[in-house]
Amino acid sequence: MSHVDEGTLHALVDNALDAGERSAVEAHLASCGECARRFAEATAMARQIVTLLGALDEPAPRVRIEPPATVAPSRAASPMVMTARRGVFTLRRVALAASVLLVAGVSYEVGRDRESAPVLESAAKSARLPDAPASMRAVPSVVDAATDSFVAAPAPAPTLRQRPRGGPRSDAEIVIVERGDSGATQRTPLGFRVAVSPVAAMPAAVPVTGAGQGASQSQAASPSQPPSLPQAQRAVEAAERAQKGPPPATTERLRVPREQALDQVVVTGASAPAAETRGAAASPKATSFKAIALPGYAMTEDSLVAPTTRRRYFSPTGTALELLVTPSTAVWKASSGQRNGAEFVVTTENGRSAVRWQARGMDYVLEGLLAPDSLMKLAIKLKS
Amino acid sequence: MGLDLGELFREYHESLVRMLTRRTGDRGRAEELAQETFARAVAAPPTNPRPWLFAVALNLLREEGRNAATRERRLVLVKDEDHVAPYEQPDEAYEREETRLRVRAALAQLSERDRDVLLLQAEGFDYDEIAEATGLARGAIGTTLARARKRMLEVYTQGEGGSHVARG
Repeated sequence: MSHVDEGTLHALVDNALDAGERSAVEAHLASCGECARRFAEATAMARQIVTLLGALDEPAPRVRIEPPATVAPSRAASPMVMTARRGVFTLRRVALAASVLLVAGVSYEVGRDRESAPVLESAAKSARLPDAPASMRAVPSVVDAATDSFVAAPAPAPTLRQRPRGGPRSDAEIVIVERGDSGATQRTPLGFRVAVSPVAAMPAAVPVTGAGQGASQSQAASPSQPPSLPQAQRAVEAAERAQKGPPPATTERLRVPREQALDQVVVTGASAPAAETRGAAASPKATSFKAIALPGYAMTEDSLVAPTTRRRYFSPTGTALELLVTPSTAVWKASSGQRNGAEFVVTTENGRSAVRWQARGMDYVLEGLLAPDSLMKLAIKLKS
Repeated sequence: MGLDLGELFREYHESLVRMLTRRTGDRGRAEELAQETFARAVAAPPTNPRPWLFAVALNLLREEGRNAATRERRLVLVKDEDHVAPYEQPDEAYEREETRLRVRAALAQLSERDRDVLLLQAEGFDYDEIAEATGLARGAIGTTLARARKRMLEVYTQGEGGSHVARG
């Protein structure tokens, strides 16, 4: 019998031969020392390659992506819905991932804040302006999604602050609703249902009262001594226990030290906006989160940026838009040129208690505010 | 019935990013490409996701390489005091980087097709999936892998100063 060719040997190593072929080859190997040696060699080579390729892997993000743990029975999942009509966008039922962020060690509140901080630009027009980004504003409204009522701009700018609801986690998705002039509605579910949990250090849960900061700071874990994951898990559970029952006066929060970086966007999970809107945003330490770079958007990083920093964005036109903002001393700007007709301006300022962001498309502008320690993802899909 | 993007993401995102990171040497770019790839899956849901996603990603990579315009758009970070990279002993870091460079150099010696096949196999693709993702005949995959592995190891070993390697 002729010897086994290299391709077949490697296919055997990779378990890619069908049963008949395999038994024929194995029979040959049993009686042919040379082929058996070559097979051993091929096996070793394949293993070595695996090891070598592994050397190319860059460290995993500090935050691991995993699916949401449970679904909340108590509150109906309320998707965050963006409605577009003649270029005016409405965000309904702002719904953000309390559960996810608890696990991730970032806290936030959900609320609608009528006394929102000034936005970057005032909404002016409702007509579509093809040549320049129209000053449309996304207006979140706490309206029952079932009524499908259209809310016209302008209205107070959204302050997306998220409070961990604790208790059962909820699962939701972001849905785009586009309504054509005829009134027909198209709903496009969009968004990643992912949860984030840290693989490395995570600070202990820090109870925070509505009033502010003092308690939390004294209890914050020191960054140099990362708590273990089980510790963090207990903290999450403690937070959940504390959250059951009537609306709590305190909010448990997990703080992420400044140096903790979150690579991936997190928003899933829904909870109805809370009645209280103020308070917990009081000057907490900013969590660093990452800006997301859009594919097709190249990036330069200046020399001050650590090489392991990650940034990703989705192109806002026709694809999902992800936005994570870094509050603190970072000032980010991104522009797309004309390819997608979109511009991204993200501004954060050190010492401020809120982060302002603005995402612009050809005929929309979305603006919002994030409290520090908050994480937000907005998924928008536009008809191209 | 729409695509369950979340499911797709959960199953394949990490693998895709890893493959692209190995391929490009740049995790940030790999993640951008992965995001673009998933965005396209939303627009045109594939029936056989894994080979499709990887094929699209590899195509995007090829196109991107050719299109200088994609590099025009810029994100400029003015300053970022928040980020702290994980600490490593200097000699560890050096060694790791050395190895990394050698492996990248070895990988670069392969033809694009051989390289893609190797990387897909390393992501656990079976031969059928590799064939589908690359457009190669299934029967040729074994031979391609044999060649790619051999070549890569040759180059890698030679990169080690060459003094202990018998050339032949």
